[in-house]
Amino acid sequence: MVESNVVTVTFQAPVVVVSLNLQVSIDTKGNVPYDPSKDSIWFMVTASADCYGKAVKLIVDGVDTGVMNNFGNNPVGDKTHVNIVVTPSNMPAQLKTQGSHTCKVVSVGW
Amino acid sequence: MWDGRLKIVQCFGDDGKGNVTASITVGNGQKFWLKGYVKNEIGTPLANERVEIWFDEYSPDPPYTYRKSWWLSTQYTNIDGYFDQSPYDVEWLEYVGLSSDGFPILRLMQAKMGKIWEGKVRVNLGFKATVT
Repeated sequence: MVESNVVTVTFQAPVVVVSLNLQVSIDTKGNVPYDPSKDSIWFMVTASADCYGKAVKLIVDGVDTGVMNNFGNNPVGDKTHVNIVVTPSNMPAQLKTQGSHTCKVVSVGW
Repeated sequence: MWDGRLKIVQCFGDDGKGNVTASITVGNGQKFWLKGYVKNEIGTPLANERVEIWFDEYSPDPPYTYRKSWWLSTQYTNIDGYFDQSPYDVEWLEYVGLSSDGFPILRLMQAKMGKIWEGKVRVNLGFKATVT
């Protein structure tokens, strides 16, 4: 049998447009407003497509907090959800100041 | 009729968009097919040669060891020694998802036989033609 050369076929991955939705949850245990020295804040991110392994980070009042997490980094390996939890120990400085704050998440490296 | 001279098979991929080379790039669901020619060692085209088209499966991670050849179709060379997969024998790739380490999982489809193979693809897929 005579073999030909090898023909290589490279797959060009489809461009997936991903939108991110951010929700926030704080259990203040009845205290209003939250107390950054006691309460944790849950930033819950939902992606419109599989983002397994990709990172998002938290931006507060336009400042990069450096707090981030990866999609899929949860007990059930959910590929479209990730939570960024800030506790009193890693609370960004912006969230320790009194007043209202604008929060968003941005993709990191993708 | 084979005259005892060595046969040479040259194969190309056709992406259906004007590119006919030994290395093509395709998108999700884009049809592609294999074509080429058979000649003997002194360059004489060999007509009516039976050519088998194959997909060669390798392990998805280094060192990429050979696993198996998946048969795709049989073609015959024309009077000029050329073969070309017919529209009934075209292939395409379907994107299934991402592997846990971030590489695409692809499904190789063929028009007549449907699903041929599915797996993680780290680099590319290899195809070939053979004659006996």
